[in-house]
Amino acid sequence: MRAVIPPKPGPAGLQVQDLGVSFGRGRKAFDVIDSLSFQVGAGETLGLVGESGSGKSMTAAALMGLLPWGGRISAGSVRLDGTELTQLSAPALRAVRGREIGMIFQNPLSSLNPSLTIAQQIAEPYRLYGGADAQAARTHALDLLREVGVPDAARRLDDYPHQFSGGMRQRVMIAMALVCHPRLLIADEPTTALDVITQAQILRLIRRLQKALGMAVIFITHDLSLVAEHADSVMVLYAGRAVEQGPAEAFFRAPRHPYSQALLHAIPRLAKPEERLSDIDGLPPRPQEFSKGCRFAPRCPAVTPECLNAYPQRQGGAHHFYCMHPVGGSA
Amino acid sequence: MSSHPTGMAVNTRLVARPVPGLFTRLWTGSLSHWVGQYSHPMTWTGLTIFVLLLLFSWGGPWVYPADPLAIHANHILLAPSWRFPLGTDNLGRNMLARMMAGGRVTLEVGLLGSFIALFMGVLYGMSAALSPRWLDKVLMRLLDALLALPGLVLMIFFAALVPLNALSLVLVLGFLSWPGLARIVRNEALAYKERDYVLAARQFGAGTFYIARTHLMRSMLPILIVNATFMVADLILALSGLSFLGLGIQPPHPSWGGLLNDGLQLVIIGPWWLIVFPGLAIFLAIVAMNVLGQGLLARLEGR
Repeated sequence: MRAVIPPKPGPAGLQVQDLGVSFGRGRKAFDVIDSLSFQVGAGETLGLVGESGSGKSMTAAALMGLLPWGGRISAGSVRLDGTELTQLSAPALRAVRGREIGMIFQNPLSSLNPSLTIAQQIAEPYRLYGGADAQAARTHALDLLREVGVPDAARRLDDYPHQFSGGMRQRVMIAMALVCHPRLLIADEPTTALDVITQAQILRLIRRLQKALGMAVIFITHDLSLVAEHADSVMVLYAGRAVEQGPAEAFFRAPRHPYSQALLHAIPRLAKPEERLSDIDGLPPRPQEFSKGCRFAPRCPAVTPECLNAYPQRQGGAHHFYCMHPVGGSA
Repeated sequence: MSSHPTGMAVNTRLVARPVPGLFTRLWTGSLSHWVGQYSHPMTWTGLTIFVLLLLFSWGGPWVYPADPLAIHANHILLAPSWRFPLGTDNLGRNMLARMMAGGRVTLEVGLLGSFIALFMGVLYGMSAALSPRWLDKVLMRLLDALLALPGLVLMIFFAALVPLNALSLVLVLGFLSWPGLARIVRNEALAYKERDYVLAARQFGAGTFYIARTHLMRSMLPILIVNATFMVADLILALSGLSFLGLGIQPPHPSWGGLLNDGLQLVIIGPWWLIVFPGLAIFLAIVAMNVLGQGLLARLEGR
């Protein structure tokens, strides 16, 4: 299959520089994502962590050029294997979506059309861009269904989504995302709707396919324990900005931002069952209420007056964070 | 074992399964699913009556070939008999033959007219649902204006402008009946276009037209079928109304509405067969389509 993006010199994978997304116009305009920079190399996994409304899914939508009505990319660049995606025309971007970027969704129950058979749905992206005839698409769908581990795939091709369990449906979604062998896979909370055992199976499957295809993976979740297990690097989002990011190992060894610290403390541990789980008081600000200072300040245990005046400077190298009073002292 | 593009082994033993033939695939795949989806006693009742009417109108002339326009001056206003099973009219024309010919025209206009209305309604409604918000608003206000016009008056107006034959009546009735459908289509499309699977399709690179064709149309097909059914009944009634007013199919060509009108002119001298049979036919056609529609609707609403 012809690649949409010709390979260009430079680092493979996804590079995002200073990405900003805003909604509205003129004086009513507000940013939902601000100065986001990160990269995911081919074969690597980035864990994108944050609570609801922190901009995780909005980031994914911006990467795919599918922002909701009224939203636009206001700043920055998104490069996939050296090609600038923000400059592409609508049809070119659509082709990129079909072939170069695959996506898996949070809710496999509603992401499949109830009135189409599994074979028809898996073949959908393939027929949109592979230009294949029905029989070839069907054969391909069968291969993929086997690959993602659906038992008795040949018999299940003509089944409808309601005849599949949640985990099996997510496998079908993964098969759909992989039809055109994308370079980037965005997994938006792929296991939120699934039970723990299925969750482990699905994540293992994604990992195996990632290795086989050499895909860059962005793994969006609010579950830090999954990130610890599956991601090479971590980016913690809070209210539309990255508060801390870096290699997973360094991050989990010593999280520096008070917010990351608080998130880690909120993970239950089997070793200390008697310990009361900590939580964070208050709610994150809404995009219209973002202040010029640190956005976590109102809920931060280490807050000082200077936190409210200006957004903190970046500190650190590969593992860096934006905080004036980092956990464990200033760098 | 063979290799797949991803480099993983594929078990070829499982691949060797006979590929079912086209009919088997159609039947096991979607057709049986379809029939099961719509099957309901009312559906079958309505469908049976309607098919019988179709058989009467189109198949009848093979069993009983008679000229609907031939005048038998010696057999005026005869009650039903062996020679004229439904009697004759005031010009001695064979009522059974006229009922068959009238049925062909009436059902034709009903079916083709609703096909046009369906096509226009889907086109307009889909366009509105998939266009930018401001354009959607403009199109919907325009639709409100169209819906506010009284249908029968418009039909009379247009019927006065065009030569009255089956084709022109199909066009007039079809093109005047779509606004209601357009609104239904637009509302359905709006409801379905935010579904997760439609968003998913967009994320897999599907364009607007593809989504409209594949996902939206398929989702609203049941409700379209139901509405098309009712539309056929409405158009049969509308044509009969126009014919009754003398603005339908023009004499000497028969239509059920026209036959009823002719019969009523003579009601004082008492040929009941000139009123009962066309009336019964119109009644049956409309009841059939409504019962059919109700049956489909019942399944649609999960009863």
